[in-house]
Amino acid sequence: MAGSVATRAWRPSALERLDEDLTDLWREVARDAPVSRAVMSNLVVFCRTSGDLDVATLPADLPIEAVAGQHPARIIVLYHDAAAEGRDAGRGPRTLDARVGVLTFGAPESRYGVEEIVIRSACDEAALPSIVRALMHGDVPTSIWWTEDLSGSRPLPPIVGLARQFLYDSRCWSDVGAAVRALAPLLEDPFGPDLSDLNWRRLTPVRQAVVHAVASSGGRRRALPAPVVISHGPGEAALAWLTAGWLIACEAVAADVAVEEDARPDAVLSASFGGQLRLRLDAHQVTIDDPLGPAPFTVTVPREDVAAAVAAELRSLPRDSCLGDALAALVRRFGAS
Amino acid sequence: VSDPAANDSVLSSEPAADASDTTLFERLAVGSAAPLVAQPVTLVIFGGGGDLAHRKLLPALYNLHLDGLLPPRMAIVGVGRPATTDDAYRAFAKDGITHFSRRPIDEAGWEAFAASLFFVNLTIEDSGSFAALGSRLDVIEHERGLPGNRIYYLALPSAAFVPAVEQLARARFVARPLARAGDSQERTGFARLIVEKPIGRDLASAQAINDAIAKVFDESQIYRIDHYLGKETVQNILVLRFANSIFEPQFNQKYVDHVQITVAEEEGVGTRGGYYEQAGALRDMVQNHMLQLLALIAMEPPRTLDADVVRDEKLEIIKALRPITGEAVERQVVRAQYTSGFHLGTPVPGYRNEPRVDPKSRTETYVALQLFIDNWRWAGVPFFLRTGKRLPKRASEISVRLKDVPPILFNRDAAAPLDPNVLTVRIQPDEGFALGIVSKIPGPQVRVYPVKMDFRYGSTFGATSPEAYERLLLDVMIGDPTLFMRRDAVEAAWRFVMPILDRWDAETTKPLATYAAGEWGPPEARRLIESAGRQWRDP
Repeated sequence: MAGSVATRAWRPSALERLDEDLTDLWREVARDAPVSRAVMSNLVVFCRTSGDLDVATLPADLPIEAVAGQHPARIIVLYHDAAAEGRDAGRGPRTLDARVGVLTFGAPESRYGVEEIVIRSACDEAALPSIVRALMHGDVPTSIWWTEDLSGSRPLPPIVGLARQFLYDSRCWSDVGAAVRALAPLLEDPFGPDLSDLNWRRLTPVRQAVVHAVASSGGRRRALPAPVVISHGPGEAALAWLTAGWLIACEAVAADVAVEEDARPDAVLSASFGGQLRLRLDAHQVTIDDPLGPAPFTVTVPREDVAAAVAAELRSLPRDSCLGDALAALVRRFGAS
Repeated sequence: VSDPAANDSVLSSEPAADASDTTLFERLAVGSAAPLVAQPVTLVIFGGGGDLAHRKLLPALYNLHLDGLLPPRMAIVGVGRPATTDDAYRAFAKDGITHFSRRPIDEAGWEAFAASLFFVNLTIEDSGSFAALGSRLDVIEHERGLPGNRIYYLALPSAAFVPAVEQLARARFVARPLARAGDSQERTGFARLIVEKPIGRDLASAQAINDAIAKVFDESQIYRIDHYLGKETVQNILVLRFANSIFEPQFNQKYVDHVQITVAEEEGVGTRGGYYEQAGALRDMVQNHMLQLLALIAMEPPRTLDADVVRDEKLEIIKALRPITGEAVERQVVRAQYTSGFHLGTPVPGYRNEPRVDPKSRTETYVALQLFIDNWRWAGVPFFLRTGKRLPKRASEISVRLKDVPPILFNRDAAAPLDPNVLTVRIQPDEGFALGIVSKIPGPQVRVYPVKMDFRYGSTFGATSPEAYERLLLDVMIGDPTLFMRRDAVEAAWRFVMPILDRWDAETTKPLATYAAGEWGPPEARRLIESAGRQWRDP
């Protein structure tokens, strides 16, 4: 099963000879023992950068190798130098730097390897697809992992248009309204990519708990009791707004949903429905206290690190209509861009 | 929509156009990414202090708990002997999870899980202890706010099935579902029964068990577990066949030369000699696991994925098996017993020298069969099945060998025929499938070489797959019987193997074939397949 990287082979490269360098690397890696190339998808990891950057360095805060171990993909890390874009606008594609690598996993007798390509680009936005398209395998799905805070970094349409899936983490949003407005064009585009939000995954046990609470009340409720107040801890505003969006999209509440901050440092998310049904999410479980239900209950929060969450999202290609509907409710709230 | 500037922290509700058409539950549980929701339930494990619970059931339930898939407030009640306390049972569970769970103990997760575990001392034959069990269940369910939904898991020898079910009836633990689904169940809670294989040791005993259970439980309440059917690769057989246009057109007598199914175990009978003496390889593996695998690889496309539609198609295959009777048993079936040999360089005893095994035992530890499915799709295509203990390695796989290309172009040399195309479905270990094809070797000459296109679950989907029992237990909680065996399929499988068992029972003097531990079976098995012009394909 997937584990840590067994071997790493890297070499500097250039855009025009990436494939040749990769071919050489595969030969080198397979010299001692056979290795299978594993590729489920193209994973384009988009990171903005500025100034000098060594492409030998992967983004320190992203578990890219761990994701590769759990969801083998051709990984294309694209460092885009936005400042250079402004300086050199209109000069056409320029690749400043690139390197290629093969990571292997598994036991010696059943090794498999994935390819990793790191590029630092400094070109016009419109020219980016010409780089990425050349690096993608055409017969597998392509996912874009947008590592920026969408509050201040709008998805680049030329890149996003290449993908079947657009993956982001709303937990890093500093301004929920701005980020929602940045996503609005993707939601409105019928041919746009499917959206995947790592933070939305964290709501799964919350949704499960609410569904159970409704089921436990024996179908006596036509809507959740009002008023609805959702409180969130520091840095969890997006989670609270997604909860609100989901409830509105499901027509689960017949009144407004208020979202407020809870300054306690250990607070994550809690909700009160008419002062009766109460929900609280912490790091381990969701607790539901419902006077109409038979007894308080908990739903376990699955243990999942970022790499496992990313890999799980990459495997989930069907469109998540619930997320789309929740975001659409938020777009109506915050306005489109 | 509110003006954000005026009311920054409010999301306004919207008038519902068709909310009245759906329930609140339906609106919340909608969508492909909706969480799996099993109803709150009490799982009562008879034999809860046994080996199956220790190694498989409790670790599987713990992993479901870590994934947040167990229904809230669920109670897991181990019942049986020896008498123990809730705390001692929790320690027993923790030990099983520590040693056998695919994921290690997580203290926070364990604490919450442990609180759902209970133990009740019970003797199957004692009605009084069932009354005590009922009282304890009532208290647990009241305290945890459970609605009375119960799943009874018989992790017991099959001889104890009937007494246990009769006691359940006597204690009024079981309400049958009414014709209108959900009507009574919402008021009284559902009752479901899980039965472990083997169901009986022949057709008559299987029918007797099924009859006795049917007096208490409706067929829709009965879940007969064959854990093989919960394995990811087995579930993938249907996907492989019916979600890909490349394979299905080839799966018939026009293109398939033959099919092999191998289920090999490297271990001997170990401490299970007492059970195995009464079973043997045909009963233990062929009658259930292997015929189920055969049915999946050979069945017609089901009309839908509804449980009964899929199970109907599988049943058709078992019914279409050409009976092996009389003299045909000698020609088409080989049974054998392992003698002393080696396992990974270490000497190991023969079967007759294993603990609790009769030194003159005629119980087979190996069986190989040649079968035919008498339907339009598979007419004339031989299916070779083999299974055994103390074989060189643990491996289960199905291989579908396609017919040779015509003897022209690259296949002209009769002395060096091309390797055939073989689709291999590996069930364990290293789950996945491979397609053997022929490719040109780079160079000036036209030389060909067999290469393999290989898909491995481990390297493709990365994360550890759930254990079979996790999937199956969750299915019972949700109420999906697709991966469970229906009564008619169990009995049809017994009906097929009975003439073989009867023939063997009549042969009390003919020497049994043997194979040394660590070998791929007896020479007779090789002759069986070679006489049909084929060879075993070792995993």
